[in-house]
Amino acid sequence: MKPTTPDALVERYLRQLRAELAPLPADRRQEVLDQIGEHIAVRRAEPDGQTVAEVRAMLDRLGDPVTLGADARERFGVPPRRRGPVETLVLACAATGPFLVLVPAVLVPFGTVRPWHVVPVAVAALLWLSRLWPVRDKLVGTALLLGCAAVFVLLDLLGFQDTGLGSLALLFVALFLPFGAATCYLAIRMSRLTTAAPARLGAR
Amino acid sequence: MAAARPEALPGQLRRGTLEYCVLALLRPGERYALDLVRELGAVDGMVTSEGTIYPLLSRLRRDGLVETAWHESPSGPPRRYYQLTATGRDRLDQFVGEWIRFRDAVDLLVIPKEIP
Repeated sequence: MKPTTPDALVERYLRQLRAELAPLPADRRQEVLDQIGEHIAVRRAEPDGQTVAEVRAMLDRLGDPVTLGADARERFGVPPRRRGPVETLVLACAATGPFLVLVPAVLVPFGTVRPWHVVPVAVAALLWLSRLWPVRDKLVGTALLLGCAAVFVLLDLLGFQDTGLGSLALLFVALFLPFGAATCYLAIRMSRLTTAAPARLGAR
Repeated sequence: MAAARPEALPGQLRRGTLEYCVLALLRPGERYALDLVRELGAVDGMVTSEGTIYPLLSRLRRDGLVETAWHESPSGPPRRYYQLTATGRDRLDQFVGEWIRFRDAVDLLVIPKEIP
């Protein structure tokens, strides 16, 4: 959703900034957020801080939240996070999730433990073991993964037994969409979190 | 403007120097953060992301180089003003001396000599 009012723009900006500053110690994060909040409030009280375009230009001058987050992490000596074995495992399992579900499902068709329930939950559990992604990212990742299990629970409840083309397509969407979305989301967030402050900070 | 060409001046040099530019702006007396940001922003090539000044100020305060005081504002809540501490002033003076020597040395090496 594209913000259309100055308030919505500022709200989105501060939300993104808070997420980017998440790795900072709480007191430093709050201090920076307070200062930037004050900067925005003062600038918006000025004659050239009224329209959507003016507020957007003001936020652009303030800097992209990703840039500011990377800069603040470096200023406070918070090392960029590194990808470890847990993160690799999470991404590998999320990316291959549909196959982890399908292979046992075909080999053991009527096992007591259903792979389409177990795999998403297991990958989500792994995700929470990681120390790289902040809580917000973990929540989004978990929601996407559990979306997969939820679709199957729903199909069970509806007594969905059909094995026709339609149900295969549904199966495909229910499996590949949540796992794919979770993989993409977590991979993008990881690449941002592990990037050191851009070398050309402050450059014009 | 942000050109596509690669940056010749290392980011670390710029970042390290910015710290002292902020201290130098505080030399005459205490300043409001937003005024510092405006003044630095007005100098071409100094800062593109104005927001990066805030973590820097916070860091300088924690290092004891600047201190803050709250003052009433004509409108809205009280504002945080920054001023140099004695340590900050010493650090700045020391930097200025070293910077001049460093700058002269770099000038000597990188600026082509005029052929008479």
